Amino acid sequence: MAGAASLELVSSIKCFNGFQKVYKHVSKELNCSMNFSLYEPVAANPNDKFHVLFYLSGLTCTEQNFIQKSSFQRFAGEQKLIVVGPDTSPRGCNLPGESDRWDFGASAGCYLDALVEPWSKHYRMYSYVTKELPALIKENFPTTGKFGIFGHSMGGHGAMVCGLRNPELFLSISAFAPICNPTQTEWGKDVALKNYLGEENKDKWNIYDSTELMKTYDGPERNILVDQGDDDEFLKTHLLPENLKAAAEANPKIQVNLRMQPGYNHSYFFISTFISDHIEHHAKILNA
Amino acid sequence: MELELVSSEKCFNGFQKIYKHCSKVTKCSMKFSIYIPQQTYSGEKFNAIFFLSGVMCNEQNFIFKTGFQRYASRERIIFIGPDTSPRNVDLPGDRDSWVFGRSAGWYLDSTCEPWRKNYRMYSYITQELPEIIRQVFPTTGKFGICGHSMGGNGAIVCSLRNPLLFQTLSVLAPSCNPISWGQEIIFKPYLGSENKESWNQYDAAEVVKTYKGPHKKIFVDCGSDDEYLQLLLPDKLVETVGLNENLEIQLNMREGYNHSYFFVATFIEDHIKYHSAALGNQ
Repeated sequence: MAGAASLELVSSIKCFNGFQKVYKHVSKELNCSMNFSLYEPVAANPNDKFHVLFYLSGLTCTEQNFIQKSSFQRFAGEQKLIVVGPDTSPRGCNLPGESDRWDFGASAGCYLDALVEPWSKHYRMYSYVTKELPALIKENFPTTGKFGIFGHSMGGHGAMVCGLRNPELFLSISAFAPICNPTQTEWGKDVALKNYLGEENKDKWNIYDSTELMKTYDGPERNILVDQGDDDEFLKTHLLPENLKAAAEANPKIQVNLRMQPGYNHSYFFISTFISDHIEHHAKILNA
Repeated sequence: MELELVSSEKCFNGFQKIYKHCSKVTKCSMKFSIYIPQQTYSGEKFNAIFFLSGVMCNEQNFIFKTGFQRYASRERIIFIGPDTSPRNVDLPGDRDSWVFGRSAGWYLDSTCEPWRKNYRMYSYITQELPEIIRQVFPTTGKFGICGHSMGGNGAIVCSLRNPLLFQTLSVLAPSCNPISWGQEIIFKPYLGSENKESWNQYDAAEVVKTYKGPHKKIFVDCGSDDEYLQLLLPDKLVETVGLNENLEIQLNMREGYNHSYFFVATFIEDHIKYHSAALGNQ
């Protein structure tokens, strides 16, 4: 049951026998009010506990897109997994320049902790996803304490970064069309990393780049599923999955199953086609 | 007739497409979605289902919010999703109400000014669009029809008035008797008070009363927690079907479900399987 003091239930709608909920809370990390979605499967018994999946969405999304457009609920219900969908950035902060670009600022928090003003006070999505939100979920919902993480595009980047840097927290990782190597893209170098972290902090960029993280990763073995459409409009400019694959192949601790899917693009049609495979991937690892 | 491909995106091995065309019936540019499963051999043809959406929707909502493509691909059925009203036609009052005008064409042919020129969604669904589909896409010529809410009323009306065209019929949270609450805000402005006897032909429960065609089944899902239940009146549909020996109804009241696309997504597989089995081998 949700703790009444910390969470406000915004909506709860029955879906595939479970409930698609949206909650609101005041985030200490982000210093603002935040929504997140939570799909709760039907409990066979009152004391049932569920493993949890975090799903991180991409640029321009809110907590709504994934729950409406991916049709994941059927498979979360079948695999008995709670699925949590945070928003993609702090909201309502009214920072100058926050809405100037579709790929920076509002709806583009990049799952990092900004170091540069004015972003550093609110744009702390890395800490939100890896510290505050997991604690909130554990405290308020019937969880086993075992988490997995996945995401799409910027959220795929976020899932791999958060998952690789917190192996004891996120036991399973997968991604759809992830941004694999932002330090090597124009978007990363000239927009996101530069403006959030600062050119003077270039030594701190790599900790938000999953390809770079894979090069130095020395934690428990990881088995990561990545689906990527070969007709994806962002493939060559933003995503660079071949770099991720190369880094993984050089690290015996990491297995990346990169599946290039012929004819698929970057859309939710692509995500919905393969979502069941990803949920199964996480369920296998979390149930082991 | 010229179709312009607006988009084509791979989904469950098939393609979710959107086309645009200049409709002779609505006399404006119209879009429709079409999901075409992957052909396993050259010349393969598919049965086809029309899905009619509810008020406030366009051709986008159904294709993004239901996940139907998974089942359409598996059952090898083409799905067509028309828009819910004429578009880019600015008429005074067409945005005054969420149940009338833009995105609320009620799948009827209006006979009143200023609507009668463009608001001809009944003829669009039952004449122009099926003909386009037959000419352009790999269909067997066998059609079924399905709908949600206002689209449920539309599906029942279109199928019972054209039983050989739309051979199979299923609906989700259908508006079963809009005449009982929509006389002033829907029927009078579209069809006029002087034509009250013509209103019945666009009301599902009324069309059921006078149906004399081949035996037909109506497969219905409705949420018990539907916020519009008092307007949908599924019991009225059951009652009128019960009095007509040419029709049968299976109404599944789904405990705890509301009117949303989460409800549609949960049960759409059952509907697709129903149509697939009822339309038979292609």
